[in-house]
Amino acid sequence: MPCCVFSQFDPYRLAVGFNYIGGQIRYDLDSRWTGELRYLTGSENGAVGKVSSQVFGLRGYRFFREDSRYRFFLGAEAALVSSDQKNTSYRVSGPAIGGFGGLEFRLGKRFALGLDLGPYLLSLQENETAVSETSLEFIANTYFIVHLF
Amino acid sequence: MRRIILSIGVFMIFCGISCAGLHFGLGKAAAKKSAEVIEEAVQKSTAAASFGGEGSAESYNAPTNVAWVASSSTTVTVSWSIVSANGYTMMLASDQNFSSAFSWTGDLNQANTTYAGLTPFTNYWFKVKISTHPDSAYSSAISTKTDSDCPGGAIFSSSVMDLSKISGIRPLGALNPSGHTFPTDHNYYAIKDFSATPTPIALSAPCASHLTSLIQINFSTPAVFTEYHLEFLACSQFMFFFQPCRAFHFNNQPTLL
Repeated sequence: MPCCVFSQFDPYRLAVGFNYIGGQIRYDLDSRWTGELRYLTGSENGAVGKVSSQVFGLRGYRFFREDSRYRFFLGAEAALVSSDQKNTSYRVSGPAIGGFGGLEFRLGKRFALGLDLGPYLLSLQENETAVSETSLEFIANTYFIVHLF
Repeated sequence: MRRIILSIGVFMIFCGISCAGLHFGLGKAAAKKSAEVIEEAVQKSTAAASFGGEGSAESYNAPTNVAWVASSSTTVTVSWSIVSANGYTMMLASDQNFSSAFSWTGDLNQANTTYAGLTPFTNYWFKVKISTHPDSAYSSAISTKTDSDCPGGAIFSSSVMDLSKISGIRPLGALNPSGHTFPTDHNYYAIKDFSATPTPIALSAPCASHLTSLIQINFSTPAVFTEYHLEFLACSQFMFFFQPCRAFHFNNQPTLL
């Protein structure tokens, strides 16, 4: 069996990693199904100041083709968004749900690099004024993970 | 299976190009959309104010009814009328041009603020504007003076020297004799020892105070000698001097020997 094929990962269940911009903890249910908790941050300079966001997400993956150094996957994510603006009391929050498909490449026995793309539906509302907005966004995600044990 | 995956992938890419913007990272996308929501919220608040919902058409241009409500020797409190769902930027300075001002932006709907750690008996200027509207203007500046930190009654609480060693006191108010150029009120203590080499008498500060200046002057005429001038600050409006003194040293207390 060639080195670093995904089937070699069966002994490993728990993995941690980082993405753009945040971190994640992943648990392999079996060779094809995986669950993952993610934390991401982001910031944007708005018209009236800097806005900072935090996202807590739960992802599910379905992997294909384990007998290779790379494997495709499909998945879905449900997340909670919380944002605030510096020096004011404006607060924005809401859910985000989406689906994605991507490719993971194994770098060694325990390391892997991944990329996925997919549409997300964000529904955000401001707490004080009740202004809300729902939009469809296309989001690319990259990550690096390390299988621990 | 491979064709299905490929088809899904192509569809997603097509959808991304034609249906929505592409973001790198869900956190970044959330921040961008949140900024858009907040901007819309600000515009909604401004529209409500300009159409008389919470005030006049000009209410977002400059806050009104800006006034001092309390002050002490080191603190001041100021308040203003607010337009609901707006934040405010406040500025305090010790000069009327606000050249070295302390500025900060408070919480939404904040209607007052208190500054602490100020200098007693000093003038300060204050102005405020709405922070959540890009075109807002500052209010007219108002000024006040912090209170003096001097006690209301007598400031001196003890004698500057052992009274058994003096024969009399000339009260404060005596101006110097002609020929002496130091233009302040003096009071004099007439010591009993009029010998050519009198025994030095210890001096004590008459109240709690801070030594703010110590000057040594060396004379060569009419004789070679040294004298010391000491300046003390009792409170923001009152200072006193010990001068001239023949010698001094500090003895863990403001005592001169």
